[in-house]
Amino acid sequence: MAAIDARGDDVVLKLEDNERSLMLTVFTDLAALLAEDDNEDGRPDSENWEARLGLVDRPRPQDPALLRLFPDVDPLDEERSKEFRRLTEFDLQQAKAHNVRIVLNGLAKGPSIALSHDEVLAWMKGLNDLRLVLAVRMGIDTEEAQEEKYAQRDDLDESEDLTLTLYDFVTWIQDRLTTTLLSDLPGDDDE
Amino acid sequence: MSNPTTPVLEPDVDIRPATEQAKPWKTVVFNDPVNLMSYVSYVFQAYFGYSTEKAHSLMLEVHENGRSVVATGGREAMERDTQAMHEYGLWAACQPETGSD
Repeated sequence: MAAIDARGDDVVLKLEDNERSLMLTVFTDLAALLAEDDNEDGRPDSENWEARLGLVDRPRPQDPALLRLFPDVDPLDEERSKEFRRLTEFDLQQAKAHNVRIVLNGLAKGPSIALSHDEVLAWMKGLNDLRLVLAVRMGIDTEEAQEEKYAQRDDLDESEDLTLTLYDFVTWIQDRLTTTLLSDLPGDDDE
Repeated sequence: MSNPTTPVLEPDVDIRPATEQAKPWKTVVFNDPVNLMSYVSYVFQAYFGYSTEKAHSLMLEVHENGRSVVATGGREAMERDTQAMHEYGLWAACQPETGSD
């Protein structure tokens, strides 16, 4: 069973082998999803200066999971959303991919993963992005849909039941990591 | 020294009326079933520097009303905030202030 403890300034996450290999698989998938709309000429992102400078239009994602990760800046203003996507989406994609890399590096450390404050933050964001994708894949787009999914749990097919179990597992890790960082914030000194 | 007979390249400047520049914009965060209450509170405290109480009440507003205006100001600042919310994975938008909120 996974466990999360503070050790000095670090947070230590302990994962069973099967938990760690599952996380490696799903975060590798997330890294691939984030890299999906990379430039077609095979250049690494670091050399794609047109995208960096916001010189090329970036199409609005067709995949609802990607659209949830890269939302319109204003759902009521198509023109401004298009311009904003051109100017900023590359940076957002880089930031999200960076968080996922930090998670994958952590998972490669072994069963006991010591994380600095910044790494914990990257993990929280990466876990949140993973949960957003899993939720879209399971059709959880409202709180009602979520309740319904849990109510039907006994009737779900095996793969959906596994996805929901994974979702609960990463939710638990994200919530525990968040609680750890919340207790470090200045506003909580007197608690 | 400039020579008046040399043609001058006009810079491509985006000129907007002063009233539009001053028009306040807002960063709105929408509810979704995925984002954890603890995480949303954390983001409001860590990113905006809000107190525990203010972050908690904004988080509850998102949860209960489906949306909350978490910041107001100039367009650039609100776009930056919205981009930051997207990096945290919150569902946010930057919209012109209409007075309806």
